Amino acid sequence: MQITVQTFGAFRQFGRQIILELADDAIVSDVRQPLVNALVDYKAKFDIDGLVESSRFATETSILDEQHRLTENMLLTILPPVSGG
Amino acid sequence: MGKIFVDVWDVTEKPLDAMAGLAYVTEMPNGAENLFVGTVRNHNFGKKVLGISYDVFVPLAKQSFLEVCQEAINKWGQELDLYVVHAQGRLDIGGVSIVIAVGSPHRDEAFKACRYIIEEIKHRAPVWKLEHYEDGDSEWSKGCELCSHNHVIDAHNIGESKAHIGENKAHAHD
Repeated sequence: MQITVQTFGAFRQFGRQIILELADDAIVSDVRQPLVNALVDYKAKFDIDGLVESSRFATETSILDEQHRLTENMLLTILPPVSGG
Repeated sequence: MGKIFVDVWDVTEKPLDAMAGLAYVTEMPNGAENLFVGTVRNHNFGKKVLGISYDVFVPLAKQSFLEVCQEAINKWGQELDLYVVHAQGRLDIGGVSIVIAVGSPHRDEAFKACRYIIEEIKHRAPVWKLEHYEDGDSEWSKGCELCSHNHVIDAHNIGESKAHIGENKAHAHD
């Protein structure tokens, strides 16, 4: 199935969103490696692998548990470490 | 029963207004109004800063502000009036990035609730800072990893508390 990852913070440099192809039974924790693979050809001033690892995934209303089951055409948002205020 | 106002404003269209926050929480039953104003400073970790661009996941940020405000009410009373507005977009030095205002019948609750709200927002709200430096470089601030656990702040010792995140990693912010 296809899902879309909306980007914020340091991930903005890769575009506003990234589309990934995942297995039909994928859960949130299954997003990380395909996402890293999709970004591997980009140059960044930071460790992409490390930042993906330290990020969480969310919808507009909640931060998702790592075991949360994904659905076709789901829109996820990647949340790198935050620094508001 | 108090009231809550939370929002995110695009500062290119609508600069934050501390006095508006203060006015919102100034009500007849309140004997104390506490105001926190976050501004952009001209340095960070030894580098000269010209400005900061704030990136915000608005729907979740507003929800996190509401959750933090509700937690403050649960801790310090239903009478609290609360106002939280965060900036989105580019701010120069001295620009206002966040306004938090708390109105309460008594000062102790107003101080504690205001401190609690800013500390929790720093750790939990989906907001990111891109710092712009004098040498022309820009860099995203290193932030706090979000986690599934709520942060533990001792409501009775708010002035001395440390926020805990993830696997008991404690850290502080400016």
